[in-house]
Amino acid sequence: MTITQTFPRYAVQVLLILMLASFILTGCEDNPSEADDFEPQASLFFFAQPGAPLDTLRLEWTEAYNKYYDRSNLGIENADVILYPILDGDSSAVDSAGQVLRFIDAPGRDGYGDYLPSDDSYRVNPTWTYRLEASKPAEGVELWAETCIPDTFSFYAAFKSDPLTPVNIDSMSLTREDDEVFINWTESAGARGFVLGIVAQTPRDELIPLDPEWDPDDPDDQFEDYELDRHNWTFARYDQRSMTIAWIFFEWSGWNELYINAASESYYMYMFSVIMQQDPSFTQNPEWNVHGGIGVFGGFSQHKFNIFLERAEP
Amino acid sequence: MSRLYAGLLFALCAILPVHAAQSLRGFVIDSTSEEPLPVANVVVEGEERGASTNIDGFFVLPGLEPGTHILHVSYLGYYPKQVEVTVTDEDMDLLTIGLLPTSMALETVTYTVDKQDDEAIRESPRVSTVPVDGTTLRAMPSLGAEMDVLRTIQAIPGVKASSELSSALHVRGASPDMTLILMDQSTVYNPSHLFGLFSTFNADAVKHIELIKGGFPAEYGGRAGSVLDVITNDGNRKKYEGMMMIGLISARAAIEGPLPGERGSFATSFRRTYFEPMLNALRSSSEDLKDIPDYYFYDGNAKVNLDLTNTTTLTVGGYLGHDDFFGEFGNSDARLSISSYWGNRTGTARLRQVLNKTSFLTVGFVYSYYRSGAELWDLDESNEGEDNLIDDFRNRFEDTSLRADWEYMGLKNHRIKTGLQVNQLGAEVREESEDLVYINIDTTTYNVAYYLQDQWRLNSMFEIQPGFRAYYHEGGDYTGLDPRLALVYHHSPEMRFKLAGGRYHQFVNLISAGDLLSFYDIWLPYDGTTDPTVMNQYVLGWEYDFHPEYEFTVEAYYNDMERLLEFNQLIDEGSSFQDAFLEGEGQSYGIEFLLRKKSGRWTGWFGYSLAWSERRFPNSYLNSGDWYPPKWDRRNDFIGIAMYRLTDHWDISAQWRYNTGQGYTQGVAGYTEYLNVGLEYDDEYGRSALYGDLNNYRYPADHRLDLSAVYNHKFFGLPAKLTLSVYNVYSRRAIWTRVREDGTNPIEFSEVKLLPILPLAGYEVRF
Repeated sequence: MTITQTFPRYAVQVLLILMLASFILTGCEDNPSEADDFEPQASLFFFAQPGAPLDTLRLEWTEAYNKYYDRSNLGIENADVILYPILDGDSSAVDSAGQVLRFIDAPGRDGYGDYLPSDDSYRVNPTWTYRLEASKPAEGVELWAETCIPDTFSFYAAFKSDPLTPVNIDSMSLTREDDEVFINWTESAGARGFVLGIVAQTPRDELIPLDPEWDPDDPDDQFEDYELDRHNWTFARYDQRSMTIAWIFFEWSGWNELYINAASESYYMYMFSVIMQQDPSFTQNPEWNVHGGIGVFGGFSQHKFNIFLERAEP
Repeated sequence: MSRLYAGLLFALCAILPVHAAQSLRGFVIDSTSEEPLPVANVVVEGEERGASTNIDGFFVLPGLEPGTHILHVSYLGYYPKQVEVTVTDEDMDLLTIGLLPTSMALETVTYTVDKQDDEAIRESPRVSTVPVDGTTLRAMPSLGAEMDVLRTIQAIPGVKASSELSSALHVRGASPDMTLILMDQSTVYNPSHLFGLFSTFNADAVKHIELIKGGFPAEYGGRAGSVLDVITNDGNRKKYEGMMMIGLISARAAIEGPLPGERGSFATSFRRTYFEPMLNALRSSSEDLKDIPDYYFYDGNAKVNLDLTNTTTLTVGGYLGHDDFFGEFGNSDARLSISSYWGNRTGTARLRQVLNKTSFLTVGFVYSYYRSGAELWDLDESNEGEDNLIDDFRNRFEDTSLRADWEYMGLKNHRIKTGLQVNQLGAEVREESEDLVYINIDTTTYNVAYYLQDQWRLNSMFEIQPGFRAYYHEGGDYTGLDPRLALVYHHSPEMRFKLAGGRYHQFVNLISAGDLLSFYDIWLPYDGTTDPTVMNQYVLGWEYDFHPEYEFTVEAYYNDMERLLEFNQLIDEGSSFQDAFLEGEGQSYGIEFLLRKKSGRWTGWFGYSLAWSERRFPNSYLNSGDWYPPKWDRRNDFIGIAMYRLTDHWDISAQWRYNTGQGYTQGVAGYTEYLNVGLEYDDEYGRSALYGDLNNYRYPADHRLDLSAVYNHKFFGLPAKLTLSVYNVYSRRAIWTRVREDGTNPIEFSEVKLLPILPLAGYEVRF
C-alpha cells in the first residue's frame, strides 16, 4: 500500500491532531508583558521663552507602572546640564562669549531632579536654535535635544459680537451669559502652531465649577481628585489668526488665566500628541524630541491675561 | 499607455471564438420563484466534466455528442436533480432547470447528495472561496432575529472582527478596506449600521454570498485582500409574496413578485430601527439620562428584472441606507450638540445577453455613493447670541463605473472571461470651524482596468486558471499589471490539491477613526502622491470530501503587503494622500481548517485558524517605526456552527466560538507629563503612563455560545415564524478594552466588557 493510498484514510485524523497540537503550542503562549522587563528611562522637560527668565528644568527617571510613583525619589541629581545656541547651524560652534548656560540642582528640592539656570539674567533669543544637553555618565544618562525659539507676536482680544474692536479684557469679570471672548494674533516666525489654554488660578482643593446646577452637598456632584484638572487647552494651526473661546472650555469659577503660545515644532507636536492620547485608539507615547530618553525641549513665545469668571445662580 | 492599449487589443483578439461541437446551454433556477441560481453545478453523467452557472444562472456545456445525456444539477440549499436531455445535430433551445429549495420541505426529510452542492467551486481551481446561500444565512443564530451577513462571514475561519460589536472584516491579516464588498456588482464602501453592530445588508434581500479570502481571479480587482460578493434576490417570477418582521429593535418588510405579462420580476425590502420611543422614555425617566442621544437607521433594496427578449434581461437595482445620530451634552449653561449622519446609496443597471450558443455578455452601469458628516456646536444657552460652530466635517465618496464582461464557454476545456471596467472615483473631505478650514480635499480620478482569465482543463487531473488584470490609474499616471494563477490537481474524485497566487493592487484607502465612529470613515482614491498598496498572495489548499455530506478543507497562505497605508493621526492639515497616510509594509500568514456538513437533518461547520500578522511604518510615530502586530492579530480561532431541524415546526441552531486574545497596548511605566503652564506637579497630578510597544499585551482568550430557535407555524393561514435567540448564553463577557484608572498609584487598569446574556425575539409573517 502506497502512501497516496493510505493518506486519505488517515488524513483528517492526522490534520485534526496537527490542529490541536498547533493550538496547544501557540494558544497557550504567555501573554507578553513588557512591565516585567521594565528598564527605567531618563526624562527631560524644559521650555524656553524669549526675553523671559528661564523656567525650571526637570530631569527624572521613569517608574515601573506597577510600582508606587514617588517623584521625590525619581530625580536625576548632579547631572551636567548645559544650554547653548547653535550658530549658523553648526552645533559644535558654541559662541565663546558666554552663551553657554549651565543648570544647577534647585535648592531645597533634593531627590526631585529640578534644575535652575545658574545665571538668572540669561535670556534666549527669538528665532535662534538652541541645544540642550544633560549627562550623567555614571548612571548612563546622555540626553540632548534641539529646538527653535519662536518669534514674538502681537495679540488682541475682543468679543465675538464685535471681533474687530479690541477690548482690554484683562482682569474683567464675566459670566457664561456674556458674549464669548474672541482673540486675534499675528504671525510668529519659527512657530509650528499655537497652543491656547485656560488655567484656573484657584487651588485644586477650592475649585468650584461654573455649572450652576452643581450642588456641593450632593454626593453625586463630588469630584474625584483626578477630575480637578485646572488646565484645558486647544490648538491653532500655524496659519490660523483668530479663535472664539467657547464658554464650554471654561470649567472653573474664579480667576482664570488665558494664554496663547506660539510653539516650536517640538512643543506643538508634543501638546498635539498629548491631546490625541485622549482618543482611546491612540495608544502611543507623545512626540518626543529628546534623544537618549524621553521628554521635550520646546520653545514658545507667549501672551496671557486673566479674567474672573462668576458662577451663575441656579 | 500605447503599449497598454496594444496589449489589451492583443488579449481581446487572442480569445476570438472558435466553433466547437454541439453545445447545451441554459439556466438553472429556483423552481418556486424562477429566480436564477448563481454558481449551481451542472455535471454530465459519465463524463468527467461539467459546468457551473454564472451570476445569472447561465451555463454552457460545449462539445456534447448527439444522443441522450443525463445532467446532475445541484446547488447549495436545494435538492439535487437529474435531468435527461437529448442532444441533436440541430440548434437547441435554452434549457431551464428548476431546483426545489430544501427549506420548502414541510415534512422531516433526510437526504443525501451524490456530490457536494458547491462542487462547482470546489472542483475548479478557485481557492479560499466559501459560498453561503440565503437559506443558510437565515438559519444561523441571529441577534434578535437580525440576521446579519457580515456576522455570518465572521464565522468563517480566516475572518476576524476587531470585537464582537464590530461587523468589520479583517480577512487573513488585512485591514477592512482591503476587502472588496460588492452588492450586485456595486461596491459598498461603508457596510455597517449602528456603529458597526449591524451590517448594511438586509438578510431578507440576500440570495447568495461568496467570500473569497485570497487568491481571487482576475475578474475581481481594485482591492488588495479579499472579495465579498453579495447577490440580492431577483424576485419571484411566479407569484407575489411578501414578509413582515417585527423585532425588539427594528422592523423589516419585503415584497416581491412577477412583472405584468410575465416579463420579469421585482424584489424590494425595507428595514428601520425604532429606538426613538425607548430613548425618549429613558431621557424622561431620569435627569442623569437626559443626555442619551437619538439614533436611527434605515435601509432599503429594490431590484427589477425585465426580460427584453428570451435571451436579454435588463436588471435595474438600488440600495439606500442612512444612519442618523444626534445628541446634546454638557451643563445647562454650556452645552454642546453633535449631529452626524452616514450612509450608502448604490444604483445598478445591467444588461445581460445570451449572445449566441456559447457566450454571454453583460454590460453594466454602477453607481456607488457614500457620504458622512458631523457637526459640533457650542450652543448659546442665553438665546441672545448665535450658536458657535466648533467643527463641521463633511465627506463624500462617489464611484461611478461602466463595465462590460464577456464569458465564452464554447471551447470544450476552456471557460474564458474577459472584461473592461472604467471607474470615476471622486472624493471630497472638508473639515472646518467658524474660523478655519482644517482639511480640504476635493479630488476626482479615473481608473481603467482590463482583465482576461481562462479556466482551462488540461486533463482529467489538472485544471488551471491563468489570468491577468491590467490597470491605468489617472492619479499619478500609474500603470500596473496583476498576474493571477490558480491550479487544481485532482488526486481522486474526493481529493484535490490547489495552488493559487497573484499580485493585487489597491487604489482606494480608508481613514477610519474606529468602529464607534463610523461617520468618520473617509475613503480616498489614490491621488499619485504615494504609490498604491500592493499585496502578493500565495495560497496552498487541500480539499477532501470524505463523505457525501461532508467536506474538509485545509489552506495555508502567505500575504506580503507593500506600500501599506495607515492614517497619520498626527496631522493637523491635509490636502493630499501623502499628508493623510503613513507608508509601510506588512505580512500575514497562517493555516485554516474547515470541516463542513452541508446536507442532512443537521448542517453546519467547524473551523479553526492559526494566523500571524505584522506590519511596520518606518520613520513614523507608529511603534517608533518597528514591526508590530495589528490589533486584530489573533493567534487561534475556533468556531462551530450547527443548524438542526428538530421537528416539522422547530428549527434550532447554535454557534460557539473560542479565540485567543487580540492585542492591545498597555503602559509599562509612569512619568510626569510636564505641560509648561506654571502648575505644581506632585505624585498624582501630571503623572502619565508611558506606553510600551504597540499591542504589546494580549487580552485573555474568550469564548461565547449563541442559541436560536425558530417556530414555524401558520398565522391566520399565512406562513409565520417566531424567532427566539439567546446571545451569549452563559454570559461570559468579553473584554472590549482596558482603560487606565485615573488617580491610582501605582497605575491600575480597568476592563470595559461587552454584552452579557441577551435574550431577544422577533416575529415574521410571510404572505
